Amino acid sequence: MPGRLTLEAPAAPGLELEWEAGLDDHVVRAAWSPDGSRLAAALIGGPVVVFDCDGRRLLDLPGHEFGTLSLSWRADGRVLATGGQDSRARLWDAASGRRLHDLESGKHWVERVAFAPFGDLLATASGRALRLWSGAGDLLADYAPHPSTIADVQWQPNDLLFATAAYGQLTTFRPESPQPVKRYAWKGSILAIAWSPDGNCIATGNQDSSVHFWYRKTGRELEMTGYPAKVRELSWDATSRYLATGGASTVTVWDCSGKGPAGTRPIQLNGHAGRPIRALAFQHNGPFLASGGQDGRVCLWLPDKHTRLVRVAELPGELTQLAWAPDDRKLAAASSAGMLRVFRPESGS
Amino acid sequence: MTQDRVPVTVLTGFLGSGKTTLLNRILTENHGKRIAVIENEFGEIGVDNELVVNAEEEIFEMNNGCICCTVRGDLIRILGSLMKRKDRFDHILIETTGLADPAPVAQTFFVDDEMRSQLALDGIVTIVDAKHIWQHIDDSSEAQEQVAFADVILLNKIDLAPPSDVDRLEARIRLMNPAARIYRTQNAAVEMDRILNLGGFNLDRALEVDPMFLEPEYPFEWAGVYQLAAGAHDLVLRDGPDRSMNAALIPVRAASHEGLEAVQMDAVLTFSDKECPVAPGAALTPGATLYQLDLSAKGEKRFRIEAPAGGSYALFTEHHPDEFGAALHGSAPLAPVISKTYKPDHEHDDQVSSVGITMPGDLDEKKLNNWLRELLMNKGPDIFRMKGVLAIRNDPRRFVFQGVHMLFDGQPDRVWGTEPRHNSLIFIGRNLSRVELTEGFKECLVA
Repeated sequence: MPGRLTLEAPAAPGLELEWEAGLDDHVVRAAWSPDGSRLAAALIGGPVVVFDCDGRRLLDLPGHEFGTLSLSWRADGRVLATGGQDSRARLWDAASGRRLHDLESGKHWVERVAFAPFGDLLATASGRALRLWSGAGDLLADYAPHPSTIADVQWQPNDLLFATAAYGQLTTFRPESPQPVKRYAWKGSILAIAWSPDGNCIATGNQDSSVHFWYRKTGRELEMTGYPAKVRELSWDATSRYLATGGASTVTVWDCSGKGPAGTRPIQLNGHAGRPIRALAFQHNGPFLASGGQDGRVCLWLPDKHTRLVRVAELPGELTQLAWAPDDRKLAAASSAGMLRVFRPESGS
Repeated sequence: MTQDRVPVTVLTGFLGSGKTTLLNRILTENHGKRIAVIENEFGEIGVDNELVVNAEEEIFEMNNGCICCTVRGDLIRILGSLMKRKDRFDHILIETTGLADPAPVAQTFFVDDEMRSQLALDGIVTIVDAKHIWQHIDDSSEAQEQVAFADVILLNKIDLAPPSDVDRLEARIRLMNPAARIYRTQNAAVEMDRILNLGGFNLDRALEVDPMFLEPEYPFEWAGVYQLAAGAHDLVLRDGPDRSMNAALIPVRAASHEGLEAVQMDAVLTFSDKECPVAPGAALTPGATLYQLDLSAKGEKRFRIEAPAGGSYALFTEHHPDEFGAALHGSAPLAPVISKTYKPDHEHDDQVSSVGITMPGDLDEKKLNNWLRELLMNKGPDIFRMKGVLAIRNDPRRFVFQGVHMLFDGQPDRVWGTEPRHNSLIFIGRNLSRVELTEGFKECLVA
């Protein structure tokens, strides 16, 4: 088409492939077990597949009729939770694949299941219903319905505190109380939540093409607007200094140190040939950021003042998921065409 | 990547109008299409189909407070997930609740980038209960909006309403939305190709449907020229939809179309005067007086008509006489020698109206963009739909577009070829000014 801007994808050495698996369906979630020994992938058609860290296919779980939407490992790695379009959450024995429990999570699609970072607590969100369960399948709390569908549930990385996102509000809860800890009113639809690793800041990506920051201690709020599209991709770096955001074909990285990010110029990363960003993942402890685009590319960046693209790779289809193993030595990438690839970026850095 | 966008049909209509019947029909019809249905929370589709998803309507306003940016959050979530499936759909149907404003659901396919890249609004189908819609059409802004937004309107349950009522209803709906295709149905029986895969919008077909929609509007709907003997006559009216109606009796020189045309402008001026209220039994005299006939009483109502001399007289009426079973009687019922139906402006009646513009000539793209931007910014909330085919200078292709409130979607389609280049467009909405729109558009033509 004449006049259309096509950005050349920048060149960089390839990421070293460790193993790959063809799953033949859109991968909606990919998550490493907390000890890094296994990788689970959920497919939009329903099945959930578990691999060991070397790519051996360990389990094929039926998942959910019509479609699986979410996935979460229990901290000890022995139980896997899934949620789906059959309005159920399920608990699976991660060793045998046996179905342990069927949880009545609500009447609508179960958009989120989220195990706490430690212990044995599982939060489920189905439509406006928020429930808390034990890993043994006991219902611990059935919270008052949210005013609209819960779009995301995220635990604070180092505390028993979780946040829910919905149209009109961001809310935090502690397991011991049926009342929210705090309700942050905001007129708009919140799509995704990202806790800073130090727990001080909650960033959200929003339908109205903005990113919002809530600082828990000071009550300060900040909003970054002007994204070309809704923002669903968010990732903090290990130091809680950088927040990488999508909502565009460019990765925008905000420096939240000092008084930032207000009034600062973000770092902008162009690696996806003008196509929308679909996934972002900073390493758990290291400095590298992985970005995945609708173009099927994976880019590995070192985003600091001398930002550079260090490695690239490509998957068939659109990139959907990126997940670093807990030790940051492996990067899993999945695509809409059902390709799952595990890279070993270490040699590149 | 140029992936074909999956067409989306939105089905609106009041509770009990026949939405569920139509949905069941679509799902059981052997059309070979794979259709996913997003059913509203009260829907009761009888067909066993795994592709029916029940959704609770969640209207999301944006933080910036713009009404034109309201979208259906539930649809974004559900369709976003459905579109990831391997077994792709050929078509998506969305059923709204009875009282839904069609704007947020339509806007969803313009505002959200993910929806916009994968799905295309194919059409809005509004199903109307031909018997019961009268209870709503005057007072319910939802009913008016559902009619105004529609690409296709099904007048359903016609077996339950007298044909004359259905005629009146169709005339009424045609005024609110001249661009829609209207079909009469029983049990929502309609051929699938009339409601699915409309291919967006086809203005040529809209013009076929209503050749009058680009005509000027008049403050009256009908005129008949009668040959009257000197003396008294009776204008007899039965019960109708309104409690009053304006009328004027103007002498004409000849009982011909030319004779009628010669007094048309006088009638327009007369109709802009202050009404003179008259009760049944009172007399109307020919001349430049605008009578407001009081029709609030039940049953037959008679008004006397005094012809000072034998000759031709034109009776102009605000509404079509058929709406009131109106007729002129001498010693026997009189038929008009000639009659004419006008496109009424109805501004005091329906706030919802349309403005059609058709003009030859090429458009200056920059001027057009500026005009549209300005127009949508200021009038966006009042413009429900707009559609059109345009001739842009230096482009051999037709430019087709449609819009919902402030949102606009357009692209070039086929080349004009032997067809004469021209511009046709229509705006449907509230408080639209024909003069302003027409003059504004004219300014965009290449000088």
